[in-house]
Amino acid sequence: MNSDKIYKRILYTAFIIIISCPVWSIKMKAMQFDKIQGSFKNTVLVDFNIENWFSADYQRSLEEHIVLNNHLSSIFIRISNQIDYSLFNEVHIAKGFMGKDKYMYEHAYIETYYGRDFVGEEKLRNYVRKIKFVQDTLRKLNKEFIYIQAPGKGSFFPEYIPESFKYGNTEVTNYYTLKKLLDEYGINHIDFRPYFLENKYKSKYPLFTQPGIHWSKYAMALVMDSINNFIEKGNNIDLPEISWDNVDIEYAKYEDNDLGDVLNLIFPISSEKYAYPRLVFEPHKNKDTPKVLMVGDSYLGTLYEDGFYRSFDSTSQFWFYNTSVLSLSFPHKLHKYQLKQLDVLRKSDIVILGCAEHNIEGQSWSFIENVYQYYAYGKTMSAYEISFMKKVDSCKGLSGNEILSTSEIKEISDDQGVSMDSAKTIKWLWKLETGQY
Amino acid sequence: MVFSSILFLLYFLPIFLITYYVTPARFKNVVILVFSIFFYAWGAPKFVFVILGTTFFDFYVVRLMCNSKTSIQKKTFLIISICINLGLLCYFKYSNFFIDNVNYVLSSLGLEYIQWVKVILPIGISFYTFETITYVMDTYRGIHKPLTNVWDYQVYIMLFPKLIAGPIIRYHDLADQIEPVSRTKKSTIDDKLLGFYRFAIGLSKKVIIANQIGIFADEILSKNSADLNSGEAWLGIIAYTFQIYFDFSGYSDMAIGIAKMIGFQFPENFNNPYTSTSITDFWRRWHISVSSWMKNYLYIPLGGNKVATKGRLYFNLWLVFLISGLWHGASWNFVIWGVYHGTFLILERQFLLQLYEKMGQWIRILITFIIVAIGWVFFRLEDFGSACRFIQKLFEFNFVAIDIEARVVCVLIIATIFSFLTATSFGKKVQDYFYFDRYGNVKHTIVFLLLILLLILDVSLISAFGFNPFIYFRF
Repeated sequence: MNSDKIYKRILYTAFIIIISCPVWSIKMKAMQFDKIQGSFKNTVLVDFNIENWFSADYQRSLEEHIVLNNHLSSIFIRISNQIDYSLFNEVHIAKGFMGKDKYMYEHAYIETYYGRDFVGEEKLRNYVRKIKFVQDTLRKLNKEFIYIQAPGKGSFFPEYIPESFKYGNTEVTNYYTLKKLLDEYGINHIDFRPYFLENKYKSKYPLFTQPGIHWSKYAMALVMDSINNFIEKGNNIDLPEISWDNVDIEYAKYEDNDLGDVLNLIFPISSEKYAYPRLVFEPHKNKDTPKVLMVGDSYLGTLYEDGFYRSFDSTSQFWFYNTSVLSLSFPHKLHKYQLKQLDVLRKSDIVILGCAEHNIEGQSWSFIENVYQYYAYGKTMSAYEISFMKKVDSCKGLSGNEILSTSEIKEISDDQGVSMDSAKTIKWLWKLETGQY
Repeated sequence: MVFSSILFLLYFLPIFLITYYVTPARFKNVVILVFSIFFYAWGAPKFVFVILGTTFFDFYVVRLMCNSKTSIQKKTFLIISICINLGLLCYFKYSNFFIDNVNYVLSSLGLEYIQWVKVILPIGISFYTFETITYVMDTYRGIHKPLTNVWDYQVYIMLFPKLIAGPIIRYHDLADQIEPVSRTKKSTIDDKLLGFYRFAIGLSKKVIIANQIGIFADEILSKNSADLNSGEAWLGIIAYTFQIYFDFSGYSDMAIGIAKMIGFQFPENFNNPYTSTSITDFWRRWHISVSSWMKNYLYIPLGGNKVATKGRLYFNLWLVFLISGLWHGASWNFVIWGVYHGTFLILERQFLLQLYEKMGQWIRILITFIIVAIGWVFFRLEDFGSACRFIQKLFEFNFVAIDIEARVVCVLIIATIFSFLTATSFGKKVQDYFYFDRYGNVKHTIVFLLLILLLILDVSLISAFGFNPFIYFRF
């Protein structure tokens, strides 16, 4: 065989090797790439059986599943996204976009800054009236209530918002109206927005980042310390201290790059460096560790993730959007309907409710409404909860692998150490909650 | 399973090619058949039994036809075979259309509807029934001997590169390639490499051009015509014109490429149709396998060009195009599309071609392109009323400035270049360089690296298509 033929065979063999790489590269260290970032609906592979084959459900699910779940899907998606970003300045992120100078935003933050999501003073007044009732009732029960207002990135960095998004009224917004009402009704609260704006250029390190949507890691440390001081003063207690002995200066990571990460690019968009305090948590010995129930969005969620709850009793819970339940004493998150929420409330010493500006319109995701109904009228379950649980029960009776596969149920059962029936309930709670059915 | 899917590109194709190459020559057709059946069953798990059953039956009917002693017997078996094949096509593709029209008439007369459960159209039926007809006709006419082995016939029909979207390969074009040992001996490493190149080019046409431009076309064409201005309407239909060409020709390229990789030589299906200087020229360049089929198995049996009168000639042309339109889809819009092209063909024969001769090449190309683009309106907008309103919008000439994304502009430019390039002598040289000229090692290396990069880009675009993650789910 002459050398030309050998060379051509080598080329052709290289082609076969390249197109089969997702199969043979699984174990190769050099071919391990970062996973795809962000939250997305991942197609569940239905069980392979005769019924699913002849209905073509298995084939459809495998074709969809394999796009995002083959070994190299992450790098392929990053290549495509990098090309779109580098050549056309396009980013692919749900509800997000790139502003001026590569500052990343989510649409909701701009909507709220320009008052386009304003729900009206009457609704907010009604809401704050109920907060007042809850606050006063909890005080009678020797519990403290604190409302926390986090700033939004739209308010903090309005200068990077593209011109086409700038319309509305920045004076008539949910934030300003709520602020006025919180003061009017004497709600115990911390409003971090004025502090952030005042210290935007004075702060030693940035309080918001270019590629992140939340307050920076440095800002979180300041916020945690502030809230703890507020709790200590308000309750005359001595909480374990959160401090830091050192600050690392690094490229944006964790929540500081949350939107940047979700762009799924090859090269990061931000070349700036940010501060990462090395937090030190004082031991609980001789300190007060109240039971805290915190209800909030991802802004308060980032505090929870960073160790804010290490100052409190380990049974304290964080209710993320009043739906997911997290606690240092649970190995994994629960759905709120997996536990008796009112029992948790009754056992808590301090109740914290908070959110960023764009989530004011959500009005605590029915938390205040449910607590109000309980304390005012003795209602232990809302109409929504009753109907939701009825739907869960009826869905449990549905069969068919395209609805819920045996492998999904077994995974939960093994993971949470519960029976298959309980696992089915848990799966349906989440499936219905996230709109997957 | 489509060629431009991750499952096909990164799993099915490499597994098939590796299995094919390691299998001894005399068993290679078994590999083709098994993978082809799997390929078809993947998308049509129930209908695969119908196609296997009818091809089995058809093979033996044709064998009986070839062994017949009298011409009446022969003709009888011919008719049986054609009836089976056309019957299948008519039932699965046209029965819904037929019943809908009958019910329309009945309801107009105030009579009761016919109750009918809609039939699902099996994928690829229009293509392989035409191929089975070429088999029976070519053997009937003595153009080629029939196959002796039913499995070879299954290979001919089920050969997956062409099974679901063509090209329609006439039996005698493939007959001498079915025998695996001789096919393997004739197949060279150059064929395999050129096959890969062709496949990669086809995939890029589909993914980089057709898919991207298709999003833009859909955005415009899904709007109500009343909400469009003329500029948008023209952009929309031009985008669709490019989309349909690059999608279809891309798929044909992939089919031809895969076939080449396993030793088959498929005939070309497209030849730069938008460089056509008349509709007559267009139909020599667009979906050549279908026009060739129509010519050999419909137009010529009707008399072709050798009929007694011009009237009869024009009628034959018109009928062929009407049927061609109907073959593309079971809807009056497709019929109208076919008649539209047939009408222009007749007009060209009458006087238009003589008129075109007085014009420059580029004017003729532009006129033909516009005629074809307008015809695509009926193809794309399947509701006749919507199609007419859209065409009206095209000729209102109320142009307003439109904001188009940079990416769309980029793809439109690429599509335009590649659609019209070969109308220039430079373009012809480029085409010859890639498709026809000899490949030395240096050329192989450059083209290989370029197309590997394109392949990676294609897979990346397919993987990322429509992928817009949230930063987090609320729960």
